[in-house]
Amino acid sequence: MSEVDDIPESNIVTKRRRISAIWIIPIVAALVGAWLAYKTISERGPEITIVLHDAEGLEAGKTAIRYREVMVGLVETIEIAEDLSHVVVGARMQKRFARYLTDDTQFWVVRAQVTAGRVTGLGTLLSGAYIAVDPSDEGDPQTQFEALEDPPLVTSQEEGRGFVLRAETKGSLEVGVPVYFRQVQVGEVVRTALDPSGAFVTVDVFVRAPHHQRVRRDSRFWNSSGFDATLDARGVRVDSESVVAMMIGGVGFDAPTGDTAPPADEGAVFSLHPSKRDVDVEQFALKQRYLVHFKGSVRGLEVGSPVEFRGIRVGQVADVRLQYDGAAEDLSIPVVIEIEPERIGMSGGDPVQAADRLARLVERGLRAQLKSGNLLTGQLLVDLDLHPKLPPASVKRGGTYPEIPTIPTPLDELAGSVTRILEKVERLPLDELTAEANGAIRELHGTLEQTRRFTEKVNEGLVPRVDGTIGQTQATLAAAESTLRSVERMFGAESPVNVELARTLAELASAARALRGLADHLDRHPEDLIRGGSEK
Amino acid sequence: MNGSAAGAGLWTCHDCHQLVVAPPGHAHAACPRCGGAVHVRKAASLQRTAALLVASAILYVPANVLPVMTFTSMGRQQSDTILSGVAHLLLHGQWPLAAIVFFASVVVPVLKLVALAFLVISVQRGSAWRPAERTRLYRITELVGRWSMVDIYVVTVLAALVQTGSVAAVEARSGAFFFGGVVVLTMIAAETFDPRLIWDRCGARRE
Amino acid sequence: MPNAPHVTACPDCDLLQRLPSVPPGGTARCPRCDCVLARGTRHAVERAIALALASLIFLVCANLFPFLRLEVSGRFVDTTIPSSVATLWQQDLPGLAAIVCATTIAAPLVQLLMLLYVVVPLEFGRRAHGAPAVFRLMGRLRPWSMTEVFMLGVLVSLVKLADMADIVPGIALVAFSLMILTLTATFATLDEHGIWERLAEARE
Repeated sequence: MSEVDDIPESNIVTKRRRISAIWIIPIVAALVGAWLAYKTISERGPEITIVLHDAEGLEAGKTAIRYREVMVGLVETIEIAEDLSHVVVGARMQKRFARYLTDDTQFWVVRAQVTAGRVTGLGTLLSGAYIAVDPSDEGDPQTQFEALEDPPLVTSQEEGRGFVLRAETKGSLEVGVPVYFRQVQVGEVVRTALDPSGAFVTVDVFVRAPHHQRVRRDSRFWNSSGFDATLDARGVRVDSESVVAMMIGGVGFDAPTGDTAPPADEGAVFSLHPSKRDVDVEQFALKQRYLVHFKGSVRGLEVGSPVEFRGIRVGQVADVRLQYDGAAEDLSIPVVIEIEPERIGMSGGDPVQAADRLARLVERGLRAQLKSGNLLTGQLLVDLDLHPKLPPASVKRGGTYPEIPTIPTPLDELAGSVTRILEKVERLPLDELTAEANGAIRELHGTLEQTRRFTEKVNEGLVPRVDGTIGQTQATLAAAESTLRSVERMFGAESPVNVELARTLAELASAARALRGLADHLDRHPEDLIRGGSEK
Repeated sequence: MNGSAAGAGLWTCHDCHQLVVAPPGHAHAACPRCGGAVHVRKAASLQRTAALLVASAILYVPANVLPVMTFTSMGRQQSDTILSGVAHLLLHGQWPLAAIVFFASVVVPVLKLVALAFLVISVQRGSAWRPAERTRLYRITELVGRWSMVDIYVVTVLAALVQTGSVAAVEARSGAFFFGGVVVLTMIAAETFDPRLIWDRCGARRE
Repeated sequence: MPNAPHVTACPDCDLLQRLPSVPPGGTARCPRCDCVLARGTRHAVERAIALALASLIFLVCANLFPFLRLEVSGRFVDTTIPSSVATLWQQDLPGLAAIVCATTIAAPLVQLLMLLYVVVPLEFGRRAHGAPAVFRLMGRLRPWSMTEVFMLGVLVSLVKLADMADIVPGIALVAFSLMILTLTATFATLDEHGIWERLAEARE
């Protein structure tokens, strides 16, 4: 079979073993695993440390770092410092938050706090404490931070402007007290501190955008704390920005010339007037000083006490002092009063003309007389009036100031004032205050009742519908918190209401003393009721 | 014997199923392939299975009486046993879930105990009744038993997840451990039972 | 003659029978009690290695990454599978912690490592030291790997918690689900009979 031998033999090709398709599975697995690992590692944000005073309420792996109530980081470790002086918290921030971790970034712990001053963060009783952050992308990147002791009231993200007010006393101004413009809240007090010199109190306020435009260079700030119930020679005056200001105090300001004055710069310094009325007192350029001599006690007459003409203010007392008169070997009390002639249009601004006119009035019977302005406070005022029937007198010149003649104080006027003052005390809005407080307490009671019902609901089952109720509870707790805060502010030791009440009570007490003094006096000198109080 | 390996003087390795010629005069041998012990049947199978069944039946009592977890919320505690957990699910209208949990945690362990006890007793009494069905019952018991662990895992996940301080916290309780013990013991019991015993008896009867 | 029909006994009913070679995708069953005696798997060893490797990768991912996160009223709790076990341990239930750890982490992990130890050298025709003993123990471990049961437990917990809190699934949950798939595939297609035969032939 040569033919067969001629036929070429086919090549035998040993097929190389094919790689099975099954290997796709571990390859995919490896890819998925690598991707997961890459994703996790690449999404890891920077690690930071925050130094805290203590770690109350914080838990490693659970406590969040939040900005605007959104989680931006997580506490991973909590350790005590080597010297035991503080706590070091290690936290992992989100990657996209990394560029906001700079020198200016601030951290603080938000937890439920019930201190003498206020009740805050009641909501964290439910959610647990957390660390809040006020981010800032200005400054150098930083990974180590020191937490603030107290939460800042105004964060750097808020638009607005800060101003510095100088006040004589702190009054009832606390951190968080609102700042009003036309009775609209536009900001708040962020800090109060005694000036290092001790001469005044600086009150830092923050006015939110766009209202910071309203603060002009000629703006005037005043303390509208509480109900500004002032008892002075003119009686009781109640002045208040709003009910809230009445409860917790407030700072008001105005812009007397509107938009014509340029807006005040950041950090501009203003003086804080004790009350709106002090702002309203017009300043008179022309002041003429006169001397008056009173023979009796001038107790109750102070620098600043009003000088009135038939009840209309024409000036004030500038000086009261005791003087030894060497020639007469006697003690006298010269009282210097300032009369502002512009108040009565006595002159067109010409001092000489005004002095002449006053001299003529004295010749027609103008006399100065001490009168009780306010029996409660025992304050006196200098009253000027025309007494044409009196023997003529004239302005004595020759001393430092011209002297206006005086006449003794009638006592019946004192008695008349007593009635008037008592009526005014009666009109103090004590009832409203009590009703307000009762309302707040009722509200709080309702809130607590709601909370109790919620707790019961939660415990009814293993699978309670908490998600809806939690929100409700938080709202409720927030309400409770604010209610508590109002109540607390209203009745706390330093609260305006309390301060005002205490002051009123003290004044009532001194009024009672004055009345007893009057009664004693009448007891000893009943004839005064008929003849009027004349000096003996 | 009815064509069984044992009848032909051959033993089967429990692990690699290698046939081994029974060494005369010995109760057990080592498998030449995998090195495991070889017996004609699993050693003391019925006794061990029965003992484990009794032990798991005893554990079954605390497993159902003691709470498996405690749910704490707003300062109030609520303890759940396996059954009350199912009842809560029913009360909240989650009946599909309740059915799953009820089946896995109540029906399966009970059926398993009953089925294994039935198998042990029937083999002990030399019953030849439906060997194929009984073998299938054994296989199902072996297969389904593990699903009883569901409740253990639910407790584990809840205890790990629900740790939100005062809002809600779940704590695993000793009931869960006893229940886990029941599942583990019945699984071991199923393993020590030798299904070939079912056929041995019926072969003997047939002859 | 590796594929020659040879005699075996059914492990469930001890019936002596001849086992023919099994075509790929088919199973050999006992004529008396329907017990599965052998599986026909194409590239059995290669397939086992591939699937076991994939399972191992998913297992590592499932245990390293966050598993579930619970969020309620702004507070949240992150868990991984090992941290869940640690929680049980902290709650003074070491026995329960051990059961859970053994059935969800240890059993699958040890089983996969044992399988790889046996089948990887087998792919190159070699037998690892002590491979038969390792493969035998691996078979014993099989009922104790309960990953799919754990998954059902997770689902039940999620439904229980759904009304109460927000649950955010982590990437480990995805990895765990994938691991269940590959793990099931690994052992469902594992031709133990064939591997025993190859083990017997391979040299150490």
